[in-house]
Amino acid sequence: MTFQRWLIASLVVFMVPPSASGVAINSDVGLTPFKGQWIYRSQLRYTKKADDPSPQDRKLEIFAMPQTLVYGFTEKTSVILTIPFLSKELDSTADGIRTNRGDAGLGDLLLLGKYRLYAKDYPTAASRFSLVAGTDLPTGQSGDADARGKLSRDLQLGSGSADPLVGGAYTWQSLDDEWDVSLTYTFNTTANKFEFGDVLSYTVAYQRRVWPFTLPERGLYAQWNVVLEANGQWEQKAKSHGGRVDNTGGHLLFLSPGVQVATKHFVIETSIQLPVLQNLNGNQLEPDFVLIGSIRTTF
Amino acid sequence: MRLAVGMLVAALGFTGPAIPESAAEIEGIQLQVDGLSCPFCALGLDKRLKQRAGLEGIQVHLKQGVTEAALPRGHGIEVGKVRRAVQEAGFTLRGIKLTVIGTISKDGDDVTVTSRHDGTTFLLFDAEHQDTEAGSTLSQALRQQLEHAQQTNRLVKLSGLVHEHAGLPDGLMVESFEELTE
Repeated sequence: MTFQRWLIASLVVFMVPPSASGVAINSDVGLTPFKGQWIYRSQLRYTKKADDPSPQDRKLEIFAMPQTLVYGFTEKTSVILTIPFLSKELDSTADGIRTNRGDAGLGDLLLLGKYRLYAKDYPTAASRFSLVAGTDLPTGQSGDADARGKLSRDLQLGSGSADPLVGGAYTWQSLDDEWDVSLTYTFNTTANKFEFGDVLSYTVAYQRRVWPFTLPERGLYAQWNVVLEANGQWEQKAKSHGGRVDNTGGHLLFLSPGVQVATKHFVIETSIQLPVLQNLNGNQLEPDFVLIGSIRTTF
Repeated sequence: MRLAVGMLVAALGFTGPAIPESAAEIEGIQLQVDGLSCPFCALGLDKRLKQRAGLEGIQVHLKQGVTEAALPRGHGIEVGKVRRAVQEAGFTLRGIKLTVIGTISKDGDDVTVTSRHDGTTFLLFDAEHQDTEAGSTLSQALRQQLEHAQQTNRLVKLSGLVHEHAGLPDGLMVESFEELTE
């Protein structure tokens, strides 16, 4: 599973909006922003992939800084734009020489529309289901090269293709806790005679308020939540020249504990994604962990 | 029948017999909002109630699921706009509870409280008397108290849930009544 595919699949959940409390950190939610609401989310995601059994002893480090802007046209319909800035560095050994290659810059933009299909409100609780659809746009470079020649697909900033996706998310939210379940399917298309495999992403997230332990009778308060998420991605093998490509695709499942603070105007959160299932095809670098820090603000 | 007559009167713009000048003020507005379940959500309610419904002094009480607000001086409350503002914030308005100070008027069987400043009129109902026996929406006891307040032109303080009526003034389901001494 290349990082580019994995990142786009993950970006889908970065849109996590807003009308949301707490809301999960790495999972999409059924909640939508209010009419006229703007939400800005800035993230830093550090991914480390090492533990390469091959003689190349590859080590890949990725800093991704997705910047997400959400606008609610109505209380049911919103648009989400994510602009990712990426930095990738790969250390590997060839012919006994340790080399370093990498790239940095703008990745593929992700443009999504979200529609709230179902809403049921209760005193101090809400149930929501929303559909999401959109595409990533090939704004990231997919043919970058350095002094040694063209970079591998893992190090390119973009996929070179526009890839539509559809999905849905359900949320149950109360003053004490929240459940989120989401499913997203990305239809990857061909670029440069290469087609990444389609990606199915699924998440289940649970969030619990831990402070204040007893809610004040009146007013608003800053709320501390602990979050536990299961973030899974299954990817088909890529296609090239009419055949399937080995060393691509597979199944990854992360368990992601996190903590967040939510107030009326902002949410600050951090999470770590730890792989609990890595069933990748062939010889691929497996992620060691992903570290996430994020801030959301609304206006 | 009573409602039909009321709607006809409203449609013709006929206000009926001269109603004594009254002084009604809405002291407090309490919105019962369903679906409000996080601090980050509260901003939307704040903004939409200000922008669409013209309310001010908005305070959200998460644990109770209620929002308190005030009206700018001289402005009346439009229940439809409040309901739409809450909807645009992504929530559901379960009820609006008002506290009104004013004088009582009578138009046939209807008993109302009307604002001198903005013309807001509430048709009064009795929370303890829902069966509207003999066409009346008020219990005998409350009716007598209200009629006494009207005859003596005394100020009253009423609290209760507001509901909308097509073509008629909004209704106020009286939960508490107090005759004020000046």
